[in-house]
Amino acid sequence: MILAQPILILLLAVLVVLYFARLRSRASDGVVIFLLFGFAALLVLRPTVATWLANLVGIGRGVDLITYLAIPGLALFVLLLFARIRELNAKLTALVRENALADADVNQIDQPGT
Amino acid sequence: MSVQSSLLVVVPAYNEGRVIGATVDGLLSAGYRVVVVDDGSSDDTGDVRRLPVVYLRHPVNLGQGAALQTGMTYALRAGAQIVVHFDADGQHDCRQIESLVAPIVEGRADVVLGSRFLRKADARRVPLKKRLMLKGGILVSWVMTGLLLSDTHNGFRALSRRALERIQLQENGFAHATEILQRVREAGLRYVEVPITITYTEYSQLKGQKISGSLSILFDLVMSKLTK
Repeated sequence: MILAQPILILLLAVLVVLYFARLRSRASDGVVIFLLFGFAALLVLRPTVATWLANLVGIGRGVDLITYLAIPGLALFVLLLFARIRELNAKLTALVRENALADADVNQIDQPGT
Repeated sequence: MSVQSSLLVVVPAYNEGRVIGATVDGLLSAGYRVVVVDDGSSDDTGDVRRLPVVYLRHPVNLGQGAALQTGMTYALRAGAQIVVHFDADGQHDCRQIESLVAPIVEGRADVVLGSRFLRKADARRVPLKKRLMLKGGILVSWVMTGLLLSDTHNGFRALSRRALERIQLQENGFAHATEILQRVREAGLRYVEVPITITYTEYSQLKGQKISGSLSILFDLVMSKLTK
């Protein structure tokens, strides 16, 4: 075992713990995340698995396969984060709007329609 | 006048302390009811509350789209029949409100969009750089909404109560101008363009939309399509 392996495994474990402690939203998420982290751990321990998989789909090196998968994966993740931010923003907006309307400063103006 | 009693002019304002007083004064002396939505300004925009207006304040800055929607929600709850969007920076002329709302009063339209490209004289007042940017914006709007109009992102427009009930702006930023058109199309609202004149002052140019601004509008629009 080379030094990088325990370090990477530790990092993965920390990520899993963090995910479940802080970010978990749905149970189905958990299954997906566990599978992904399990696969990542397998790749750390048996790097040849990546190469074998890469060869299966016509890519020379395992590292290349991981890079190719990681780029769209990360892009998707960023997009999901943006979606989450928009959602939050919509909630904040609704809150601020109701607050503004409740505090309306109606100065010497009679209501419309009267 | 019966039209004016059920008409509310919504003026969104973010750090417009230097000009909003004059803009609102003009509207008030023309006999209009004014709703100022202070979008979390950090300057003295809030002083406008000393005038006889409805003053709404967002505690934090959310963007022009959000401010307009707050004003429209207020108008809807207050029973207004017509809402006019009017910029705080003095580039719109309150004498043109009458012709802007005419199609709604006559029952011909639900949404009236001011356009600075319907009359040659108005179009010539638009600075060249701005004109090029707007032409690009018109094309983007066309692709996004399917409505090919003569102008875009013109803040001078009027909405009927029917339109107010059907348009709920989600775009807090400047992309709301395109979003309104999307909703017009989806809800099958009747719309018409009316020629208006924009006065480009040094101040309004300074506060106006830059190229970077148009890019962020485009980004917002693409994101809203993706995350729907």
